Amino acid sequence: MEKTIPQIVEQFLDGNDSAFAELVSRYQKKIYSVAFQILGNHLDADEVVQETFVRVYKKRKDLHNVRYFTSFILRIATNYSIDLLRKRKGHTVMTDDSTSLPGHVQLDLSSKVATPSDDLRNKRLMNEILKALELLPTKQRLTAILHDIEGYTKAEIAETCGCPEATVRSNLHIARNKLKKILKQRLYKKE
Amino acid sequence: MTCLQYKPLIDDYADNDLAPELSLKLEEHLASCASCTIELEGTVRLKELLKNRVSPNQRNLSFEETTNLILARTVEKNSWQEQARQKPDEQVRSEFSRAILSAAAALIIFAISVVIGTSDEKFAQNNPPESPIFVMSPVEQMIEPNDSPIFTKAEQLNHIQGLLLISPPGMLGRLSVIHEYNRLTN
Repeated sequence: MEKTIPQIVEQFLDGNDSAFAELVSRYQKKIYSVAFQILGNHLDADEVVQETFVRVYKKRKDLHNVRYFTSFILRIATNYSIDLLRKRKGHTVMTDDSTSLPGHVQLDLSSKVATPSDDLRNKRLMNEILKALELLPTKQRLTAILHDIEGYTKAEIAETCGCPEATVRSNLHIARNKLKKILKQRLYKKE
Repeated sequence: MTCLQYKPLIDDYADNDLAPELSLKLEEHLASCASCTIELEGTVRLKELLKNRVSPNQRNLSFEETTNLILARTVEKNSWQEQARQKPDEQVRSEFSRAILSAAAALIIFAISVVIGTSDEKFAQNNPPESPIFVMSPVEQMIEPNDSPIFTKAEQLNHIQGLLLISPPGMLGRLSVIHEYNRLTN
């Protein structure tokens, strides 16, 4: 039977290093995805993944007081991503073009891509979304990314951001309204 | 309830987070309100758009590499530090004993050197008159017994004194020769 996250965390707290390796393998894709959505590039996302787990390892004593490990690790990852975003503001180029990515890193389109023209259309759409998200203030952007892209619940986001669920609802509502305005043509076009 | 009151509920309705009673009320309202229906459609489409956007994916190899890097920065580094923390006791002990041994050996050599170097008898035993070793030779052998055609005896002694100061016989050798020098000049 597969171990649950609390069980793995418990083992990690008991000094079991293979439990830490298990946590890394279970969470790194999630962390990577969130970091990529926030930062828009793979190199920074990689850095966030590494730094997040290094911080988790260093802060393992604090884990005794943590209720939800997912929120705990997500909070570290998002805080670090926001720090990076602030540092690199004006220097970062948002990209979803796989040809510009280093060696082994590739992008997969989760939508149904069939032809090169579809591919191009999708890339344009992705760029539009990335730019639209970039226009949002950090908290609204983070809420929209975590909820609508990564699929976290409002309770998890509240735990991650350390704010009431009502604040998450409000941020999400404002973020969606802004995105709807920015992507108006895309959303309400006649089919 | 008015549109203004219903609109904040649309997000929760689109997320399936709205209580059943409120959902029913909203559905009733939506049936008669075009503005709120457009609002709901927009939210649903936006959600779909965001959900179906690019999801970054790496090859497994890359995630393996990342895992290795993380473990190298955490678990392995920690175990090295643990080892480093455990080592010092043994290291300190062995270094301390080595230092003690070295100091003891140096003291023994020093004592033997002083005894041999300052003993006239042992000096004479170890350095017979025909000894070819210049530095360890008695001063009498270094100089002419009388004034030579070039240097007087006093000048020769001065030369040897100068040589003792600049030549490298070492402290112990110098001590022994000075002892001889003093004996000769007195």
